[in-house]
Amino acid sequence: MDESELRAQLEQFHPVSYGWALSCCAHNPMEAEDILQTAYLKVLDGRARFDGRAAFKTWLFAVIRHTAADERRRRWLHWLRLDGYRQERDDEGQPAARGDALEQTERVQLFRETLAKLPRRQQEVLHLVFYQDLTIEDAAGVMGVSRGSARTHYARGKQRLGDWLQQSGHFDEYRH
Amino acid sequence: MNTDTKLRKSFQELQEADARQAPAFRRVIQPPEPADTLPWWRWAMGATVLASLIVLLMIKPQPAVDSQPWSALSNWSATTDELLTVANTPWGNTLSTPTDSWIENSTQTNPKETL
Repeated sequence: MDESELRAQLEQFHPVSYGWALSCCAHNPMEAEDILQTAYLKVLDGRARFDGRAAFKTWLFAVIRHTAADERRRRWLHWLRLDGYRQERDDEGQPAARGDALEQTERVQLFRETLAKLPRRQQEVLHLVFYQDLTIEDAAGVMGVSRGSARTHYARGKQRLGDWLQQSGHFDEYRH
Repeated sequence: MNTDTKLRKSFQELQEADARQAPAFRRVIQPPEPADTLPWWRWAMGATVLASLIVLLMIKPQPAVDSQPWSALSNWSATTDELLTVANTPWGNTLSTPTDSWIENSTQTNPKETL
């Protein structure tokens, strides 16, 4: 796949890739954009090479997930050196940061906050299955876990999220 | 409506909200310009200015050394030099300083006796 083809593929999946990047970084828009940019550059300059063994979307999502994990590690190291602490304080003041519901409906915000309470693996598998329409097998490939493990995370996550949303009244609007 | 369908609907709403705030692909794909490096033309300008300064310093004529002040210094003599030649005058030995008498007295008298 040459660069123009890669670029076309990236552009095609850009909206859903952004959604996945958001999911990988606790819905911080600034961080999601940085992660996405790094991931795209990795793809275009050949540091991440598509070998065709999986679907392009599945492979791309795995690259984004790895990039987000690297970013988290980097931020953690910065935090250890106290730079990250200051950075976090700065991020809190940014208008588009997490928790800013200016452009979100209350329902979406409530859903997002409830989803964020789940363990990371459960969040990831639910996002990949319900948001990205991937199968659990493909989700397992993106997450780098076995199918059995992905199924377990999926079942537990779905159960807990469903219960919480039911209790909070989030599902009430779907009665009709 | 079962839980799966409700969850799918909720995720769909989330997807629509995310899509509204998604940045343009073109903006994301542009590689970031490193903030801590200067553009090449600034380096080139700096190097040119430095090279020009070095050349100017190398070809600048050195000022000629004026020999006049050096010769004037070698001929200089202090005005008190005359005092040093007093002892060589024929009458130099006849001069005595006020302390000479003290020295003579001290050699003739025993200090213990004076006490």
